[in-house]
Amino acid sequence: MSFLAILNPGLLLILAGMICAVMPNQKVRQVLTIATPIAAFWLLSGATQEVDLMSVSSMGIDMVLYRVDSLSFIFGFAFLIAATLNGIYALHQDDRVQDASAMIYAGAAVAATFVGDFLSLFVFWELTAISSVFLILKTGTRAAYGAAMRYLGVQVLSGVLLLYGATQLFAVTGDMSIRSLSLGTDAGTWLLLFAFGIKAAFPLMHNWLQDSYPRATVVGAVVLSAFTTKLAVYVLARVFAGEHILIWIGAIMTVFPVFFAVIENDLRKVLAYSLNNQVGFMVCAIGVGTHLALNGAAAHAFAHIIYKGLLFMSMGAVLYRTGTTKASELGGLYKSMPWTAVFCLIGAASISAFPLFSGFVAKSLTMSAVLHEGHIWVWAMLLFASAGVLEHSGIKIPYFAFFGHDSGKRVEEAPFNMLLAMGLASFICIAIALPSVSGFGYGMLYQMLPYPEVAQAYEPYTFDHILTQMQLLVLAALAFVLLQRFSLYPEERPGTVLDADWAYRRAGYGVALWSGAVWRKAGPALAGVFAALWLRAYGRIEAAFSPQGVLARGPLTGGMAVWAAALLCAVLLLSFLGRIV
Amino acid sequence: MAKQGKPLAQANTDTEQHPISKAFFGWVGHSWTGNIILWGLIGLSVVLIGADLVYHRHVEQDIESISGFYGIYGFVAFSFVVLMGRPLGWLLCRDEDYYGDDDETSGGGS
Repeated sequence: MSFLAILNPGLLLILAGMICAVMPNQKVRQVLTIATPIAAFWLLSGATQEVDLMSVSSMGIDMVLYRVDSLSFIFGFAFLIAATLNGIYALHQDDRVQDASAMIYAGAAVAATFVGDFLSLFVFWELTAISSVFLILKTGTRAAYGAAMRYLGVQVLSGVLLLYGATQLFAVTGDMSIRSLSLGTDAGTWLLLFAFGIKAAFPLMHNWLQDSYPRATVVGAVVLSAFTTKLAVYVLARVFAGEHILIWIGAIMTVFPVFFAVIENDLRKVLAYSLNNQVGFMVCAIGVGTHLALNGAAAHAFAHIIYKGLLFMSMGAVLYRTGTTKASELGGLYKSMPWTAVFCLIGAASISAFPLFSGFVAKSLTMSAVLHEGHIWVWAMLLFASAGVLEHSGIKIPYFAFFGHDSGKRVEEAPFNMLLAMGLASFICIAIALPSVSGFGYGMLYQMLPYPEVAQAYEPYTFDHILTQMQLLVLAALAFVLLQRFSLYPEERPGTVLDADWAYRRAGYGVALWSGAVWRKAGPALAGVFAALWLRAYGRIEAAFSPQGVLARGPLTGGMAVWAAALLCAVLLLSFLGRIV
Repeated sequence: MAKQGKPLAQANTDTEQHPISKAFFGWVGHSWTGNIILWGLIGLSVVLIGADLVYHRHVEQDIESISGFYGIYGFVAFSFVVLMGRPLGWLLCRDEDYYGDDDETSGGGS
């Protein structure tokens, strides 16, 4: 019992994942994938908060392996709910690798949430990358292989930067603990920001996400959507809360994916852009850094993990049944997959922040905090992005998959386990958003936030909030209907949308290929030049110093002795001069 | 590749739907559906902006106090995003096999 009380719940998941990796019996794996996150939550709920529950000292570095507080609790809890739902969603498939990968990945994210030093964080940070790559690889296509390798490279780079930054900090301060830092003149903090920024998919570092998630397996994309970016959000909130640079990074993050999402044809890729946009709201709130804003970031992360998972689940079900998620090939699926359509609509309403859905009670906190601090332009950007979310996740995803032009595809409804996972996620989306009545409703979410007393003083369901939010959404939806009616909505067509990854996938790759070609040509030529030079030099030396050489010939047969005598004289002379001077 | 769902049995022809679909979405697909949605949204918009005209909202910033600000902002923002779709598509869209991967952009697996 005492050991269980100090066991980081993430380690339990990792252990279960390792058992899954070698367990041929599907039934046992099914029990493990669902029961372990629940057991882990039981461990977590019994943990004493604000205390180092497990720590070790090694080589002068204090490593804190388990520490819980209100900020880490809500993230860890959300991760465990996601792990449970993912376990249910994956029940239909008999795949040892994916079961193990998903469990270890979730465990690494949970473990990383509850560690208290950068070195332990680094270990689990890298483990999330290494364990999750199999969820992409298992798709088995060449495109997936390429995306998986790029994903792994970027993620490992993030870990290396994290370690580098942490050691820099350690060298200066002698402190490895994860703590609030301010970006200053030392390189360490900036390296950490880069490391977190890569994982949070900051602008221009974001493309690993759109590259890899849509190529993951049906279950893989659902699993991936929950952990990596939100772990980065958690660490940002822990370390860089109130750093004003994050306000603008976040605001830009909310806006630019909106434009990519409107032209993207692959609906899972649209969801990946939408994920970017949502994380932007959280990053922005962390930058504002007030208690209200940090509550907003945490609430948004919690709600987002569930509704984004739900949306990926619904698109996964569509992919599983129809073999595609391309908008240009879908439409009219409400006729054969009505349950999936309903759950997708609930996810869409949640992410669009309709009142009575989870996005509303979460995003209101951030919007109010930004406005309250007087960041009027940032607020305008977030409001713009909110209309954008309605466009790509609220309308485009359900409309093009389930309604719109009927593709004529008639398939079976999703398997029961998928529907169950989607149903549970939908339930959570609504349950944590209803007006608070005797502890039920959004009060459940608010009491878990990092600053519960600030949260409980906040009222999301005021007439003002509802009126303004409904105005924004209803008139934006009206714009959609009008644009459709006048055929101004761009038609969905297959294609590749260029993004920042063009820099390395096309330009960088091109430069690499070109330099390879140049080297293949120039290499032998250069080698020839060097060989000729060397042969000439060798010839000269040989001509001078060999037994048949110039120096050996000379008028005196004992040329060597003369030279030795001359050198000796020179040395004597030098040492003599050295003495007098 | 995914174990794709087999097409439903012959009995379930093109005109037939999943029974639940009729219950939930029986109203979709009629000739009047589009008009109902359009006029419903117009009616709702009028009500929401009308409410804004008579109700004095608590505001943090001056710009918020404009009646119907949120609605107009939402309408304009949404239209702008969608109308940018065509020029951006022209600028950024390339062939599906642009990067030389196969065109399998969606994951398979099970």
